[in-house]
Amino acid sequence: MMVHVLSCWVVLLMLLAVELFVAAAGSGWGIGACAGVMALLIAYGFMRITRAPALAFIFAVGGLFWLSILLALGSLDSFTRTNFPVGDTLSSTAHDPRTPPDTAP
Amino acid sequence: MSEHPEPYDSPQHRDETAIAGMWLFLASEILLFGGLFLIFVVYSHSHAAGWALGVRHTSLVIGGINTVLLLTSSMVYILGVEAARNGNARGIIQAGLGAAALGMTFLCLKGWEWHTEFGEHLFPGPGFAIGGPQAGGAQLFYSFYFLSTALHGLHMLVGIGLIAWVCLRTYRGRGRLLQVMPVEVVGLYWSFVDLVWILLFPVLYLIGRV
Repeated sequence: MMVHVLSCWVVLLMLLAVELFVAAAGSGWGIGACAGVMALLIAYGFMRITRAPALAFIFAVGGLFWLSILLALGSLDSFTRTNFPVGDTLSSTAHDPRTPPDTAP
Repeated sequence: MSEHPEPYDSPQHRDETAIAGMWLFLASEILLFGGLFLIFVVYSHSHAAGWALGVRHTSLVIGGINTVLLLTSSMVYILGVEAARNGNARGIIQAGLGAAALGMTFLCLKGWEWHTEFGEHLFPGPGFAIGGPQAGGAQLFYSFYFLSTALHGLHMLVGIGLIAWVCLRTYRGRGRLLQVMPVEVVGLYWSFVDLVWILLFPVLYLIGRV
């Protein structure tokens, strides 16, 4: 078992090195892939999710499910809005002449 | 935990309940940190240029060293869990103290990094160091940076406290039957703190540098 834990640690360090190399090479997707594999390796090698009781596995999958709902619904607006832009472009555009400036005290 | 398994059917049922209970807690933690990652997803998209400018001001060297420290700390503590399964009390204490020391080193480095950033006026608000049209996005990044590292650091402190508790109860219980489950449950928490950092590291230090 000790060999298993040490192997996981060595692979994690190698993946960290790959992640830094990929970042230097300029691949955003590569960084995400490395981080995802490292997270899975921790869940599998250190937290031993595959050996956990069935209920624990259900809780873990449930957490990931609700996380995906949170991220998907939360980011839906800024990724799909088409009627007017969001973010930097919004703050840098000139005032719409149809909208009078706010002069309230 | 008493050897008498009530209200559980058996000691195995009791242990499985402890593991499942910790995973349920970690599932709630996933959603807590999920809110932070939602901030990243939305604002790194809507304020891409300013966000990336902020990322380029973070210290990749300290972030990288801290990642190695935390991965090593997790591995060392898992060796302590293995020692507990083998009935080796000395191994638990050695691994626990090693993991806690590495965790403290992580926090000291993070504290030094914060100190430097405060000195460079990178805390969002009046007098923020980064100016120009991307200042707003950079301030959003640094709000996210300080909030996420503070929340993670708080979890680290709790984890170090739990590891110290495990070491203390193991030391006090020398000569008696070892309780493996508290060591294992704390190990799940400590590995989760490591896992969160593995996902925070690229978000705080790498993705804007691409």
